[in-house]
Amino acid sequence: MKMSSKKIFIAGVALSVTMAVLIPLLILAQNNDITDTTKGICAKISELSSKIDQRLSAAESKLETKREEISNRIEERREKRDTRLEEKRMKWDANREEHFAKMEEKAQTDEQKQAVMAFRQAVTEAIQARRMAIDEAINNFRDSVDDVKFSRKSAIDELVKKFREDVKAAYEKAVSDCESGVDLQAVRQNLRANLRTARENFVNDRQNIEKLSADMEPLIEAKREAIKKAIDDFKAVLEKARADFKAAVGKGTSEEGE
Amino acid sequence: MIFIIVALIIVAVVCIFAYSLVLKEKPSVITPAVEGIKEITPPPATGNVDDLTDALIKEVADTEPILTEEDSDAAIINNDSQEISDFGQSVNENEF
Repeated sequence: MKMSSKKIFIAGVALSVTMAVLIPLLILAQNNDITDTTKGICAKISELSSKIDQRLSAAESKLETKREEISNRIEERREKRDTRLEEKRMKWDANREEHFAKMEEKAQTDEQKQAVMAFRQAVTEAIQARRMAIDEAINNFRDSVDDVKFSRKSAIDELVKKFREDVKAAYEKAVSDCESGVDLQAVRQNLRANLRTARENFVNDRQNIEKLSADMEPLIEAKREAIKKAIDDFKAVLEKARADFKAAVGKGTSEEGE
Repeated sequence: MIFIIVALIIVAVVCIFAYSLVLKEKPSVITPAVEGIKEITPPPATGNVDDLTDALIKEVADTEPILTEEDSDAAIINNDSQEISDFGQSVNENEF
């Protein structure tokens, strides 16, 4: 028991002595680190600048790759839609021909044959007009989307360029400060502040560019309106053609003839 | 031995958590619904003017979804947002 107390006492003293020696050493080491880093800032500026430049180039390259991916994707989707639309149109054209053939087959008198011919012509012209109007609306929309895409790209390119220039200027200023013998701590703080400003400007300017996306809404609305008008016009012509046909063949006869 | 097992469990939990975070942060890509649109089958020809008129209206309904899909291209333009953010974050003033 006596032996044990002695051991604890010795251990306590040893620990206290160790702490008393270690703590000041650790504080000194920490201060030396800060001093070394501060001293190193001027020596390392070129290395840091080059490292940041490499990172920016890599990020810019990724952006470019993504842009190409977006352009390809849009192009691919457009082509697919065009194909699908064309296929559907052909499918309905064939069906319509069958309907006309049956109507012509059923028409007995000259008046009925004339009425079927007039109906066919009116319907065919209405379909052509509708398809042309829709194709025009789609093409206009695509052109507008491409314009917005181009405007956005130009604005982002400008933003990227400005950011790189600002970062470069921040490092150049740090080099100049180092050469002029500016306090090392101040060199570091100035560099940090200038880089922060560059980054904040980038974020703010970017927000304004993203507002360009709002330009898409009126374009979408214009396309919808144009398509709706084309369809409404078509339906009106179709309804009139049907009424004309029925009037020409005579209600009673048409019921039979149809 | 028990400490090693506990340590391994902790490492596994941390890895799973980190992986789930990575999955969550993956940039979302707008994928507009292109597939899955119901195809309208043309009605059989009867020679009746009303049936033909109905068929013509069905054609409009059949092609309309393709025209609407066009709108979603407008959103794809912004799919480079993550890359633009990454560019801005290439510089961190606090790293030295």
